[in-house]
Amino acid sequence: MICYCCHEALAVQLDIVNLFSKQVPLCEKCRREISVWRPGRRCASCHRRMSDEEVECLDCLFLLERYQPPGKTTCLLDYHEMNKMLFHRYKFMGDCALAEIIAMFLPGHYGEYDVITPIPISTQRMTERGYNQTAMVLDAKGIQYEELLGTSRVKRQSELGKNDRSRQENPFFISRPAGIEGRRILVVDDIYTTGITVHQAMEKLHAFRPAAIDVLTFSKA
Amino acid sequence: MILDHRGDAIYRTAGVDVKGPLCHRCGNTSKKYFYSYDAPFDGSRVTYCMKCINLGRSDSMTPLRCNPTVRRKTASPYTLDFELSSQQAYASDRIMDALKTGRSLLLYAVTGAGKTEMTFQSIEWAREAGLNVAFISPRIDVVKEVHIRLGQAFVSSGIDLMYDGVKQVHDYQFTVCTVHQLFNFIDHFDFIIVDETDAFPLPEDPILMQAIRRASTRAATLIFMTATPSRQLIREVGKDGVITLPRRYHGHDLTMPKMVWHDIRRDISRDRAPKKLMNLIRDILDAERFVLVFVPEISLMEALFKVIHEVFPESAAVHSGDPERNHKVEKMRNKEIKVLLTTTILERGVTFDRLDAIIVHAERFNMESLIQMCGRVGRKQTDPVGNIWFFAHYQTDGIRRTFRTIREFNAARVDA
Ligand SMILES: [Zn+2]
Ligand SMILES: [Zn+2]
Ligand SMILES: [Zn+2]
Repeated sequence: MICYCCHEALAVQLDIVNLFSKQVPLCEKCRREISVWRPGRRCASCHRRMSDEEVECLDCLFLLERYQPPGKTTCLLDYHEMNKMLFHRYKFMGDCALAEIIAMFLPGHYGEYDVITPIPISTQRMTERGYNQTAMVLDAKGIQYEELLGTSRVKRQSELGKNDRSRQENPFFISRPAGIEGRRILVVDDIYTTGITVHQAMEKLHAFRPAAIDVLTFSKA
Repeated sequence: MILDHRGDAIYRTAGVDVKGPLCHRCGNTSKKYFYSYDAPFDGSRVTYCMKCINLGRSDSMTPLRCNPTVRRKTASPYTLDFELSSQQAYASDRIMDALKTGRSLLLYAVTGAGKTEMTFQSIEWAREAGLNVAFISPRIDVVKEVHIRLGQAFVSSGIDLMYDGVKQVHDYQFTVCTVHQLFNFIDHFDFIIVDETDAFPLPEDPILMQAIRRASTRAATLIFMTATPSRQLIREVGKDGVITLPRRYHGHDLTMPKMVWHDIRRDISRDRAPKKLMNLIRDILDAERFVLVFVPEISLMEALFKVIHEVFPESAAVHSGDPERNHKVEKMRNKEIKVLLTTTILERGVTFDRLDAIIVHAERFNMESLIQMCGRVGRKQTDPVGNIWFFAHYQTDGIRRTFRTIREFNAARVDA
């Protein structure tokens, strides 16, 4: 077996512990590097690294004026060089073995939620890429989810500025309205950049009166 | 030809042959480097090659596309604002002969011999003859540095630069890239220079050697440059194809390391400061010099760093996974940091002024690494000698061979 991240061979050690547990395709070195959080002051709600002059997170203020916020936002991994490379390979180079790696950092239980739903990708992107990068990680972890949302958006978000993004029409639509009212929903996104994407998705969900919405992102750019 | 996902022709109907399995791009046949999954989009089973994923995915569903090789005679003058040493001039002529007669060479050169400049004359000739040229290395840091140096010399040439995640391409006729990038070329390059041949992962990975062979034409000239040649390489070029370049470009001897017999790990595990080491660092800083401290593993480095940082606040520690790595190296260059603890990642490519080196637990490194670490010292004309200390718990073959190699280099005379 190899480490899916660095492709080094993994030493197979049979001891009393891993005799019973499945060996994972991630070496200790990569696990440590992926888990690193860079030091520095962070926004308590979106986990962004803040500059010294910032009193309140400017990103969050921007969003608060425009969208209803989530209950809380959980972020699994810091977006440093190592993880940037990891997500780039996973999303844009088609290295979907990395879904298994990212899934290892996901919590196993979600008792506080009635529904878990991933941010969708458009049919066109699905045809090109063959997988929804967020849903594939949930699959790798064996987490049940419902695809409440759909999207027609094709243009890459990374090509647009923040104001462009928020001015754009909301690209999401609700594909399963019946699953929303009165339920506690966890919206899962891969990378939280400005937060606009996930807030637009929540806006559509809020229209169907869920009990609560929280957000989980794999990493925060 | 050049494999390119936007290419006009189809090289193979699929990149990966599932039976086998075989990746048609990189030649990988080892099962553990293939990953299979059911595509959520249409449920089909997809197998792709992880070995060459950084070049874009080669899989069982998508054709490998390609473009034909193009050759163009191009005037490619270069400028060099200093004169080659007699040793460099000699090597430069030998490379030229090899190129004109279609033979291959191994340059067995001490670190700091000024190898890159020795290739300029031949590169100019090759480009004017319409030959496709590649300057490659297994190491990204070497590739970046060589690209800058060639760019400064060949000002009017468009030089491609390619490594993981970076692709600045003009026409694939004059290319600087990592060895991995060669997987995209078949019968394309006529003149390939391989720098730091001994560096990981070339010796351990026969697939990379195959990539070099496949990317080069039948009559291609290959120039291997290394400070620690392997037997396999010497066999590759034949005894007559080996040129030894024992002098640094400034003509001074390589620095002989001094041995200090001491078990630093033991001090650390007993929560004691390693006195000899601390005194030595004090002396180096008092002499207004700077020091790289090589440590064989991250955990020991972190423990040692705590102790050193308490006494010498102008210190830092780096390893390959350190997100602040480049920043710290920059600070060392600016002399804001005076003591830099490092794993082997800084054994190549970096040059600092007024530098000494300490190798902690030298018995844990092999000769190739020790030679490279010693090579960091005395690279500047203004400070051509410097000091090196090996702290070792016990003697090893690697340490012994390091001393012998340096002694041989220093005793040797230029063949010119
Ligand atoms: Zn790894
Ligand atoms: Zn925030
Ligand atoms: Zn491959």
